[in-house]
Amino acid sequence: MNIKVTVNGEEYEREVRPDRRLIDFLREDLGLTGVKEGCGVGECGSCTVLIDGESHLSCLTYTPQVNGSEIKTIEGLEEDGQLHPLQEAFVETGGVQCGFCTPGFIMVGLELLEKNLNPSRQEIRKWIEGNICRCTGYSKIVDAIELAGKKLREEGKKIEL
Amino acid sequence: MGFELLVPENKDELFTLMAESNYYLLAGGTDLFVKIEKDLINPDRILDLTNVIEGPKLEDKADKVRISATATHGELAGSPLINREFPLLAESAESVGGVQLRNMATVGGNICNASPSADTLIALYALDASLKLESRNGSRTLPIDEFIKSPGETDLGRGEFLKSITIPKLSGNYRHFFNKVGRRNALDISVCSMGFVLKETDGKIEDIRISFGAVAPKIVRPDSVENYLKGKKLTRKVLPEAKDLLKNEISPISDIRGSAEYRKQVAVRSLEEVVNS
Repeated sequence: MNIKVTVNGEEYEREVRPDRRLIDFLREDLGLTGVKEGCGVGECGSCTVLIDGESHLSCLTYTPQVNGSEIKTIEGLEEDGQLHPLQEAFVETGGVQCGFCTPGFIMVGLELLEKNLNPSRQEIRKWIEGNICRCTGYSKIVDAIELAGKKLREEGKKIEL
Repeated sequence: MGFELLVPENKDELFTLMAESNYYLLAGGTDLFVKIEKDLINPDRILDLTNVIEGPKLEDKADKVRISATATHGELAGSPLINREFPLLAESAESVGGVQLRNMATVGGNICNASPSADTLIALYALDASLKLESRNGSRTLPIDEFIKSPGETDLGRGEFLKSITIPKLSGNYRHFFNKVGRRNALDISVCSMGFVLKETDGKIEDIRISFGAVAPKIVRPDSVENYLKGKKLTRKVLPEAKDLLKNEISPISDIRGSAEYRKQVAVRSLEEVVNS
């Protein structure tokens, strides 16, 4: 079937099989390999992307469902070669170790910061409950989201999804 | 492998497609697609209900609230209306999965999967929810307990879909309580879950509705316990009799999450939460 989607600000019109998962479409057809597949059944959060500003699991979404939608992946965050403040915060705090889970944490973290630039540590922990990291022990990931919120507040910036 | 996924634009299109061949209905997909991924089902055709069910996700009527079957767990948990009228429902929806899953998974899907451990069902049973089903021949409304037959089995007929859920508002001062026991806090499936709503007048129980999940093939509303407690004061004195009555109303199984005996103990023990609430 024919679908039209906007991914990271660019419009695509593609012929896809209706049983093609969104994650495969993004990774294989569009080459956006920052989207990671961990469990494939919606338990690890690695494949999180934003669909119309909400974080969704791209392993449990099929391409016909996103026809006409706007999708954002980790690749869409940098601007002119500059990392997004949330990406920078992950680098600064050491929230990245092996890096496999990082895109998922950043995408879901963006949705939190869009709603609330000053979340408590408990609110951050609750918010990232759907994402699994096997390296960091989570503390530095919580640090990163907290730091990004602080920086954005100080700079008077907002997150727009 | 290989299925068609169609996104009908309206009811008419849906009914026509339903009449053509076998199908699975899709709402959020968080259960359906997992079953496909694990090769538990092998559908030829999937029909997405997203565009078929029109209108607002939540509607505040004078004495009831109408919820669209495609309202997500995130929409329920985040809704000021649901948090004000039915905190039990908001809390049970919030206990499901993570943010991403709650943004996708719908209340209609949770109902139609008819899992004995479905979290929102705890609230919908305690709140006496009724369901509206629609087909080409018209619509029918039935109480949630009549709709759910056994694990995974519902009364949904061929050519029918679940359109909305209606919950009567509670008048007066009700207390709400939700308790989910699992092996971890996040993303878990219940070992035993319980919800209740309770109204007291002059220190005595005027109305109490208790529901238990994951301790029987369906969600249980233990009538004998509710009837015993009505008119009594909520103190530790009522516990021994209430616990004995409850034991006869539940029939848990042993599985990877817990043994039948453990589940029974957790259920009986959680009655104490009613007294301590």
